[in-house]
Amino acid sequence: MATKVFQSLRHQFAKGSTRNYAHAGSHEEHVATARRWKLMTYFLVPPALLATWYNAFYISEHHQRPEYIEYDHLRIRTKAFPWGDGNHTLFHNPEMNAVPGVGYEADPPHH
Amino acid sequence: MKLKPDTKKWLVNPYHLVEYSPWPLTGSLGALMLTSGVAAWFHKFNMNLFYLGIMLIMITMMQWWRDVTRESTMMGFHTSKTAKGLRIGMILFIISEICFFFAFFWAFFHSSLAPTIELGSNWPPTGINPLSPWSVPLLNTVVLLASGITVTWSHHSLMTSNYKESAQSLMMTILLGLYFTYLQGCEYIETSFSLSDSIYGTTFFVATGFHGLHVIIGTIFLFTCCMRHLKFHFTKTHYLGFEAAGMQAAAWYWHFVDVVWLFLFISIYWWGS
Repeated sequence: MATKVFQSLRHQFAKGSTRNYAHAGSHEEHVATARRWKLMTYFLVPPALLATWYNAFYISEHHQRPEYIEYDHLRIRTKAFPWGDGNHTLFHNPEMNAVPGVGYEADPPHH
Repeated sequence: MKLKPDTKKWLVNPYHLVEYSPWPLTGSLGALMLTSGVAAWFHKFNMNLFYLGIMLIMITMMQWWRDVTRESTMMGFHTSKTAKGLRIGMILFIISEICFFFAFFWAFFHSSLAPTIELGSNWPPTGINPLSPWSVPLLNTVVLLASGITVTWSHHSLMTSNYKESAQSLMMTILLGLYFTYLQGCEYIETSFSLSDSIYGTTFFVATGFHGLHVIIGTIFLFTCCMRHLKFHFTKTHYLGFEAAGMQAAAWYWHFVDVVWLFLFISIYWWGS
């Protein structure tokens, strides 16, 4: 497979001119290809986006926070973070992330 | 009488012999300041050198690319030979990026295929509640695949000199890129685990974080192309902006970011949960 990829790359470079490489195919072929991708954008993209968007926000279950247990492998602090009080992670969410030695600072979110 | 071309005035070979430029110097100084600045930030909690470094890097990038844009458009230095070199440069850069991400996947599989006793000998580790891949990550996958479709439409529209559709589909691609970044930002705030929650959190946030950074860079790249396109910098015979630094290079880079996401989705989000 690698040989084939290499051969095709070499073939493309051997053609030399910028035009040949990027513009293989006639104008009509390009018009047809552009039309194909345009149709895909109009008829495939919106329903796929809508379906997965609806699924993500209205159907699938929400991410739950685990019970706070002081495991050695979680909430590791070898030295202070270089921001805030040095004990909160960068994307800290009081409802979802526990602080070592303290636990959760807020009640779990209600959905 | 023998006519000799004035080599100072005329292009006598197809190669772009660049003039003296301060940007390699400011770029390397900026890179040195940035790395030492990050180290100083982490250890001494002082961000001054970091800010100085990042500012120098930003200024260098803007000035250097402004020069390259002028050299390609106004000055006409990007002959087909030069364009070929730029294209090979972009390919090599993307290969180096593949190596970069390969290392993070290696770290992930190293840690997840044989989880240590400290983690409870299982994956995901004890006490980690992973994200469901079929929720927002699936939406993100569709967003990136959709942006791959629109960027291809844009490319082929340019090939047929369809200025309007090329611009519109490029804008759609940028919007989809911004939506992806927004969704990932929301996910980062919503997750119950963090960077310092075992090797799971570390591999998860390093891999997806660097991918997110690449999405942001790719979006800026496409935005630059869009601005250049609106200023008529690209024609169907000369479009290295979108091709190497501009049009096709941006498209290549965008596809690369898309493919990395597919690997992240399949291995870290799906298999890893």
